[in-house]
Amino acid sequence: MITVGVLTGILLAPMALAQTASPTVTKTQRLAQLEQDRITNLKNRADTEITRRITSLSSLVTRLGNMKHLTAAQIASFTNEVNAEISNLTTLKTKIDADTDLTTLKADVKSIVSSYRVYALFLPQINILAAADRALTIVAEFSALETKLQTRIQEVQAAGKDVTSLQTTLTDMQSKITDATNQAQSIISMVTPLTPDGYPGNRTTLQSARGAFKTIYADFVAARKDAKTIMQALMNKSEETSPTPSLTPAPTK
Amino acid sequence: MGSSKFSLVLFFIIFVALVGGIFFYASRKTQKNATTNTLSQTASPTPAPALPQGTSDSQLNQDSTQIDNSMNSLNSDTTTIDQGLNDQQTNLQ
Repeated sequence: MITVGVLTGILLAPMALAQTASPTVTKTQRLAQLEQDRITNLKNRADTEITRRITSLSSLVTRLGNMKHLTAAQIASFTNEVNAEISNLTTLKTKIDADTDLTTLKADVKSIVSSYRVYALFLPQINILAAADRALTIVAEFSALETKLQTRIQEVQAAGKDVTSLQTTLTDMQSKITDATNQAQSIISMVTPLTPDGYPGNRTTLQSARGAFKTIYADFVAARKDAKTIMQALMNKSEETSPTPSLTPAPTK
Repeated sequence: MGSSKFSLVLFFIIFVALVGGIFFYASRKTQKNATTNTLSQTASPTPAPALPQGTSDSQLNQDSTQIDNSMNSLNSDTTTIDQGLNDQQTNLQ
């Protein structure tokens, strides 16, 4: 009986040990799974952030390509810088996607955070330059309209009409266009030299430039109003000049 | 007989002078007409001075509409600037 008991004990001992070891393995696996989840989660967030930045930076390259009033050298310089940042982010994304170790991944993700200032400057900086460029395009459109209005005013004057009021309004329109031109060029001069190294200190310059667009827009609204006033007056004067069509036929001589 | 011969010669001279005069007058008239035609042909195609291009009311309205569109785009541009200035990066902690 004793022998049987000992043998049974010997046979059952490994099973008992196995039952004790099983929770330890599960905990290790659970920790590994937890780390894997953290890695996946961090990779997803990093990918989201990198993709967001690349999308925005690509749109900046498109905007730079459409600019007409910056110099070719300025446009090329900004385009190269933005493309370099896109390339850096693309390389970083590839590395992060391949990371298997949480410590390495954390270090890579940290570099996304530290490179944020490049993106944080380029995004408003180039959008401000694009808006200033558009403002100068609007200035050109206003100038063309102003020249045409001047021609029409001279025609009315040649017909013997008083154009004093029209000329005064046109002068006001010209002064608004000139002010908008100066503001837009000042913005370009102010914002172009900013570099990521100066961020976030140069943020105040960006905000100041943003504020100047309020003045530019107000100038355009006033110039547009002047143009509308002149056009309406010109139409009225041409109606005065044109003979009123007679409803009854003229008597035959 | 001498008087009759003299009359015939005189008549002949007057006739020649008359015919010559008619031919001369006719040739002058043709020349004058030709000159007038040439002048009128030269003067006729000269166009009236062209009015300045694109200053009609409808063209001015088109230009104004273009400016309005550009101003709307500028408004969108400033909204984009604000988004850039207020950008927040994804939480990576």
